[in-house]
Amino acid sequence: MQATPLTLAKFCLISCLALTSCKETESMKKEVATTNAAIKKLQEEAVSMNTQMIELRKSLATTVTSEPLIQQFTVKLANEVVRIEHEMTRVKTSLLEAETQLAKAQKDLASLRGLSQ
Amino acid sequence: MKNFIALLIFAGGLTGWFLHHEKIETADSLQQAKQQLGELEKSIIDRRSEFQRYRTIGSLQKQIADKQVELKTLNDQLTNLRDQKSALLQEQSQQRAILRQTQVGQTLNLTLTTGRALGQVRILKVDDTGISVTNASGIVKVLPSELPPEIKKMFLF
Repeated sequence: MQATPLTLAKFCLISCLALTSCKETESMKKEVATTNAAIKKLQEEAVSMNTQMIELRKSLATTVTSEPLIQQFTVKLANEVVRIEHEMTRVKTSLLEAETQLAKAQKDLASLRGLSQ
Repeated sequence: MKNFIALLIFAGGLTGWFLHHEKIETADSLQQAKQQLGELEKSIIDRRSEFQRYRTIGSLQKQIADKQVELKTLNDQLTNLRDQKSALLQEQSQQRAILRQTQVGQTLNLTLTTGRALGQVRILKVDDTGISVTNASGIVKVLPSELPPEIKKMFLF
């Protein structure tokens, strides 16, 4: 076997194919690493959500188990927030009225004290 | 030279086979990873929506607790103001009683808003319900509404 141009060309072709294949493999390896990182991130998110959900479930009544009951409970809580806000508005109005009345009572008392002196 | 070229061809073939095998393995693991990622993404979407519902409940419960504390503070303030007002009114009442007491025993000419003339009267008693006076015909109880404005003002009605 002699090192004819044909043999050399074969070597060159093998080398080129090998290099191309190597490049593709490297690119795929990078993609695998990226995908694995994304998987890891999602798994961590799932674990974190599970932990938080265990804590959140503790605050729920044991009867609130199914999806419709959870929705009903959410609506109930939202209504409760609205009710408390209305109550707060009412109390704030009463506070303003009470402050006005108190100021008037103080003024009247001062005038009565003035009369008695 | 012949053996060397044969060795080179063998080495080239071996390297080619190794690289091809590595490529196939990598492609397999990429496919598996993509499949796993797809499944995980699908399951996490449901989990996220469930988690969001629980978080909404948690957030609402926290809001309720905070607002209840705020409401309690406001109610306490209101009670405090009402107590202060009540104490002031009591003190006003006492001051008024003292001032009215100074009028007892005095005499004045009294004609009621009804037109009834009581003539010269002497003040016997003054309280929130009215005044008691004595005149020639006896003792008369006069309601605050029956008193003329200047007398009303004098007795702090």
